[in-house]
Amino acid sequence: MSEEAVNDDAAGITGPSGSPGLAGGADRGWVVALVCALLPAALLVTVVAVPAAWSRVPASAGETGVIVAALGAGLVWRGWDLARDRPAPSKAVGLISAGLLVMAFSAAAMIRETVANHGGAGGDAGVFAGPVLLAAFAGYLLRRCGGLGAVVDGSPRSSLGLRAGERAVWTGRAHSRWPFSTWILVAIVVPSAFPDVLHGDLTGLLPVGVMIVVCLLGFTSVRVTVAARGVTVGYGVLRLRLTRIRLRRIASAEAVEQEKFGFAFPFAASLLVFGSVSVVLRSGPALRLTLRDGKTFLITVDDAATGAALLNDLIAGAAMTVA
Amino acid sequence: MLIRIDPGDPRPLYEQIELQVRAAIGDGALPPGERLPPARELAEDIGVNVHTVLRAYGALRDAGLIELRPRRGAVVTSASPPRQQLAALARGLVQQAREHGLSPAEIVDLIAGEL
Repeated sequence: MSEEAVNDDAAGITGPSGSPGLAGGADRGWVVALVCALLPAALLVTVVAVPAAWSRVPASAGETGVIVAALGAGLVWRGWDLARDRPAPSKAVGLISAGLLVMAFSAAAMIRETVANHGGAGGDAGVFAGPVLLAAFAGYLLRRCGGLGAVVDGSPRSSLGLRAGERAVWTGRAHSRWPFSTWILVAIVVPSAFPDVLHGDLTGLLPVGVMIVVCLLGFTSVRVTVAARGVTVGYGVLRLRLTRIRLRRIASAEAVEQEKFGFAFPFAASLLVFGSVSVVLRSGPALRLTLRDGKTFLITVDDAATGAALLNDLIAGAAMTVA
Repeated sequence: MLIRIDPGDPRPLYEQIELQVRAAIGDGALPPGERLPPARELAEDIGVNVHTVLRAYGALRDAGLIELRPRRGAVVTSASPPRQQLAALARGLVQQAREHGLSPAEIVDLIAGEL
């Protein structure tokens, strides 16, 4: 597999011969979502049936809680993916709410276990009711806002008017507005899920620290370059070029507006199976590429209109050369 | 930042690059501290020799607009005079020229002679 193909795969954009199109990806996405929904449901039955047994299975409860939380996150991702391109998608809002509920339930279970292991008072009702109400409120807000991170106002196909023989390159960048607050929050919340940390064993902090450093260095800013060879995205202060899309694979480009809640997560990339990729660091202008195999690539970047216009000119120029 | 290279333009290629980077710094598209694309990468993207880009970067460095660092590449150090300042200077020039009795055509010729 060529380097470019590897890079494209890393971005979730594979060649026509390498993976199914958007429809096939969506089907597989639903299978994943179904699995994500069934597994935590099965685990939650155990939690609800024997809530008092949590403190008696300390060896596995923490790990189970993390797994359940991860599966809840899978539901949220699926809902996010559905919400991105459609206004007010009730299905997406339902999935996101369910995912948040599962994650909140898992967090509550872990907190309860931690409290029980330290001989604290039960307070089961409060520990469980709080996250549940929080998740319900989040779902209500999402419904009122008409979806999560929807894009609007796609501009008509634009052009810079490049003359014959003229060459151009455009570079745009975007920074996450909430990087430090988000990852500091992660640093506070995640260790609390590991009882060892509360016992003074700081080894549990190591993976969290590594994760925060990687996220800060890698996913708090992007630099997008549009040139005759295609689109290149460099991530973070190290400008790791994880995404390269050849010009011949792009059908069209447009500048869109990433709506509110697009900044809810510092880095949002949908899974490979969903057939499209979003890199959302903030709300605001974004560049959306439609590939020839029907997939889409969206990235928030300043002055996306210029990048889209140049890309359309380059695509038109390449088509004329081929003809 | 958009850089366009027009082979039909009578100005040398390095000057076209230099002026467009200058403009980007002037209008705030490239704030102080921002890194410019590596010379080799930019040269590949716009299809010119890497020395052409290096010459443009050298001119910007000589003007005090960027700093060339061994491992970090070209970094914007200061903002060039904003365009509003240039407009104010132009207004002052036109006013003084009128006081000296120059016609609009003569003022244009005067400026064109400096280009």
